[in-house]
Order: sequence, then structure tokens, then C-alpha cells
Amino acid sequence: MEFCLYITDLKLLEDLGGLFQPLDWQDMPAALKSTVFDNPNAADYIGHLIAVERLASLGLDETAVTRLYFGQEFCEHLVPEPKGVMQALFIARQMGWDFTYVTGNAVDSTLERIAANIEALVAAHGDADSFEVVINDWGVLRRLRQEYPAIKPVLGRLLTKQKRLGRFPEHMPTPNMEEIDTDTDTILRNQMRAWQALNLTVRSWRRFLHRQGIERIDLDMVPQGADLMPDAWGFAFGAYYPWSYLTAARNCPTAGLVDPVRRHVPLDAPCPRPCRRGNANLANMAHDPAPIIQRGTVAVTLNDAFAQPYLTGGVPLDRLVFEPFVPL
Amino acid sequence: MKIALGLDRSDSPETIRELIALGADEFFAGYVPVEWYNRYGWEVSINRRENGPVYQFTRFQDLAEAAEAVHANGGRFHLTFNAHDYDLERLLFVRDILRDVDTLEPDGYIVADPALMLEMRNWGIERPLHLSTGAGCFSPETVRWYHDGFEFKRVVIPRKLTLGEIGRFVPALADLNLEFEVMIIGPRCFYNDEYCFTLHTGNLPNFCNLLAGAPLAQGRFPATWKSDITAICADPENQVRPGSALDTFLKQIAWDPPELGRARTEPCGGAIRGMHPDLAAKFYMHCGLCAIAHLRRAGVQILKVPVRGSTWAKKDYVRLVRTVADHPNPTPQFCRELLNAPEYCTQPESCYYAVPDA
Repeated sequence: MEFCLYITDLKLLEDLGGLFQPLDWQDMPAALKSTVFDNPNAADYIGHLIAVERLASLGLDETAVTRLYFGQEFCEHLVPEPKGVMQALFIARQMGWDFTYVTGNAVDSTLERIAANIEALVAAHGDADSFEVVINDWGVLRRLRQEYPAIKPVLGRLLTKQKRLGRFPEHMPTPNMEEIDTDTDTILRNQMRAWQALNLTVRSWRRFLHRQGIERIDLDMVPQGADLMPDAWGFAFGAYYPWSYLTAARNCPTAGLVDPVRRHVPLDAPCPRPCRRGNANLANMAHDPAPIIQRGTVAVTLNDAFAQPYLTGGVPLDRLVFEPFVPL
Repeated sequence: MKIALGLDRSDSPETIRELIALGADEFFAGYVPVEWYNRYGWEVSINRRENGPVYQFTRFQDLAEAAEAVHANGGRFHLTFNAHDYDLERLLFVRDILRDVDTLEPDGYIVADPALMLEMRNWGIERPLHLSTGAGCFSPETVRWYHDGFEFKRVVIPRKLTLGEIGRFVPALADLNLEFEVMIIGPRCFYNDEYCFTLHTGNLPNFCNLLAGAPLAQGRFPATWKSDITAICADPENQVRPGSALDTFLKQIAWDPPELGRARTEPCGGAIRGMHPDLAAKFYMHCGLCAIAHLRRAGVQILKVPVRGSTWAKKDYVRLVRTVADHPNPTPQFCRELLNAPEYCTQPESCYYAVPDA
């Protein structure tokens, strides 16, 4: 399986070995541990430590990395400048890694910034078919296909529309049985079947995607699993670990610390990006059985509890994308 | 500007006639037949209203009567099949439902899943399609991607675009001869609904509802609380206004100690100007009235009031939005005076859009 490292901040590459360094945090004295980690915003770091340990047990460390994912899926204000993308590409080449530029959903101004980054990559690469672009917005795909048809698009995890049941890693909540005659167990079974399936089961849609140049699809690890055909319908599939997407907004609780309006609605003005210094998690997330964190605009869940089948071949993946921290 | 209002099974033909008389032009509704909810429950929804039956039509006859009432009174009627996606099993189920409802001659379908859009044409369904917010058209380029592959008539613009972005969005697509619709009042999700894939159910708080804000303090109920509530329930349609029984009750129990950092009111029944902000927030949830002048200038033609499941409140919504939409110069001051809930209007969480001059 191809092992990819996904970062949004190039500083993380300054100590690549440290990024995969385990830490024996569970045996810390209780008072110290709680002082450091008993804060919902620390879930990002707890998830990191859990993931590093799990990956080490699978023999996956910095020496196993063969591809760099770099970019921004979840916040338009954090889309890197062309200079940063070029630096990421340069580092990837130095390391002998392949390169994937990651994009998110895009309003018009964001699309122009993404296009500038792709233009810079093409200028640097010389051949447009030597790197990939993860697509999470159909408008980005259209621009890519029009201007650089040789670049390989990867269908991103926001466009696969998987239901994210990460709030319920152990069992599903009882459904609302209002006016329903069927028994609860049957309803739950039918719901699970629906949520395991993707619209990729629709042949005309698969053909359409193939015509759009899609050969690879990124998934999130979700507790209900993903019902993929053994031949994956001719697509290649990858999955992200350890953070699975739940939902995201253009408004942002962390930006709202600086300007309360930003907590509720997006603004046209640039964001001061307080998320680079801290984070405002949201109340009541800590009680969920799987750690959930609101990091800037995005809510994610730690998927370690249900990652096993994805990591050990139970789901036909050929790529694992390691997120050392919530990719914001 | 036209008003598109959500309907559900509680809306009788008589109610629909009244809503049209008040200024509603179009209606949209979801239909979940018994065969669907007896297989998948409510959480696997045809149309992203997962909370239960009151948000839907569940009997074909009721749906047929609603469609007939809309058309008989000169309105337009759209049906929504706007789940983010349908796998093959559900898609075939939707095909059968579409064959039934298409006989009602709806004026179009609201859709979000491109796989469904592909198949609808294969099934011979030729009625106009509207791209739901679920289609995620955050930029004109995304609309053009859909336009390259599919025919559609209208785009519902995502809730989380700024007025500046909408002001560029609509003119940039002038060559496609499309209609543009925006949400204007009512629930506006904290997250982007285009990309929100969490479980929604009528049985549990939704994920976004877990996100508690500042601690909420409340005074003790007055001694008259039972008779107060009886009076409130006796006249529900007239509670969303200053001085109503509900407004008075809320003001009596208002209690915001300064130490909670939310001291917007005076404790225990102090003077709150106009309507109590919590009453306005509960009813209007998020309000974009101040944005209507900007949206009109941008070329948006349809204002959507997405309040399926709130039958008792719909007339008030339509009156309010129609008044602003028909006004030649609906300034923020005009809108605020119309709402008469000044403290609600000063809270940033009340607004659907950030309005530069508000």
C-alpha cells in the first residue's frame, strides 16, 4: 500500500523523524497528563500520538513515505501561496516522493488562487502528468480539465458524499420510529446498508466520472465501513488516517475569537488566521465516545477505533494518507 | 422578487390559498411514501429532512391535493429529491416514486446528486431541474461544470456565500439564462449543508446542536405560568410580536447576570425594547431581510423560505418577506423596524448574511 504524508504546514517537514516519534503519554502521572491533555483542543495531539503508535506497529514511519499530500481542503483563507506550493514540490522531489496538491471547495476568488498554484506547479514540473490534484469542488475539476487535461484529478473525500457516522463508532443510535411499522432492527440494517453504499454503485455515474478523468478516489474511514466491489469498479481508492471528516463551515469559531461575526457568517475581508496560533473547540464535543475536534472551520473525528479493516486489507485500498495533525 | 415557501403535510389546500394570497409565489415539498420510511426510516432521507414525518408529505393523495391547490391558485410547485447521493438501491426506489409524482405535473424537481440527474434523463423525465444547495455551487465555475453535463433551470445559491460573492456570481452566469434563488430567513445551518455528512435524526440532537454557546440563565417562572401558557397556546399565530403573551412571559423570566458575560437585558423583567430577542431567535432563527436589497441588485429572483414543518408560522414569514421584497428601498433600518426586535438584530448570530451597511 502506498503511504502518503499529508501536511498543510511545511514546518512539519523540518523534523520528519520527530513527526513519527512515539511518546509514552499514557503512563504520565495523572495530574500532569490531565494538565496537558484534559482540554478539548488537545484532541489533535492525542490523535497524533495514537496514530503514530498504530502506524509504528504496522511498520509505517518516515522511511515508508512515498508521496506528499500538500494543500488545503477546509479553509479558503489558508490556501497556500504559489511559493509555498513550490517549496512543497521541491521538498517532495528532494525526498524522492511523488506529489499531490490538495484543494477544497472554492468560491470564485479561491478558485483563482488554486488555479495560480496549479499553474506554478505545471511551470515547475514541466510535465503536467507527474503530479495529482485532489478535487473537492466540481468547479475546480472543470478548470483543471480545461486548462491542464493531462493532470490526474483525484476525487476528494468531500465529493464522495460518504455519510460520516463518526459520532457513533460503537453502535448506531436508535432511529426515530415515528409512524413506522417495520421493526427497529430491520430499519437499522437497511440504514446501515444505505450508508455503506456510495453512488458509485450507479453505472452511469461511474462512466461519467471516468469520462471526467477520475481514476482514483479518496475516502474517509467511517465506522459503518464502505461497500466497495473487490475490483473497486476500476477505480483506485485511498483513505485518510487518523482524522475523518464530519462537517465544515465557512464561518469559523476560531476566527470568531477575533471577530465575533466570523463565528456565524463568512466575510469578504481576509481572515487574520488566529488558527495558526490556537484553536476554539466547541463545547460538548468532549463527551462523545470517539474524540471529535472542531479545528478552525472543520469538525473531524479520530477514526482509530474503526480504522482496523482499512489498515489491514479489509477494504480494497491501495493508498493510506497519514494526517499527522488535523489538516487545517 | 418571488417567494418560494416550503410545504408539508399539515398544509391544507385552504392554507395554500391563503399563503398565495399573502404573497407566496412558489412552493416546494418533499414526498416520502410509506414504502420508503418503512424500509429506511427517516434518517436515510430522500430529501435531507431527516427529522420525521411532519416535514414531509407521506400520503400521495395529500400531495396531489396540495399540488392541485397550488396550480389552481396560480402558483408553482416543485418537489425535492435533493439527497447528497443515492446508491443504486435507493436510486431505483426514487425512480418508482418519480414515476408516481410526475403524474401530478410538478413544475420541476430540486436535485443535488449528479448521478440522479444523469438517470432522470435516462428515465425520460424532462421537467426542469433546480440545483439544490446540496449541489455545492460555490462558484460560477461549479455551475458551469453542471451545465456542461446536465440541463437545469435554476441554481439555489449556497447559504454561506457573502453578498459580495453573490454580487459577482449571478452576473458571471448571465449567458446561461438561469434563475437564481437564495435562502432568506429561517434555519441556517452552522455548517455548510453542501458538505455536512453527519447523521441527522429526530431522536437525538444533531451534531450542530451540541455546540452550546454561552451558558444560558433563566429566571423562575411567574406564579401565573400555567395560565400564561394556556393563553399562548390559544393563539399561536399571534405570539411572534412585541407584547404578545409569549413575549411578555419571556420578559418576565429574562435573567442575565453580568457574570455570565451576556448582560444584554436587565434582570427579571427589565425593559427589553420591542420583541424579546429569544422569541425572535426561536421564530426567525436567522434573518436575511436586510440583504434583500443587495440580492435584488445582484439579480437574484427568488427568495426561499425553507420552513417545512412550521405550518403555524408560515403566514407570518410570507407577510414579512413579501413586505420587504415589495418595498422600493428596504433599508436595514426599515427591516429592523419591521421586525421590532432590536436586541435580536444586534446579535451577529441572528443574521443570514453579513450586510455591509446594516
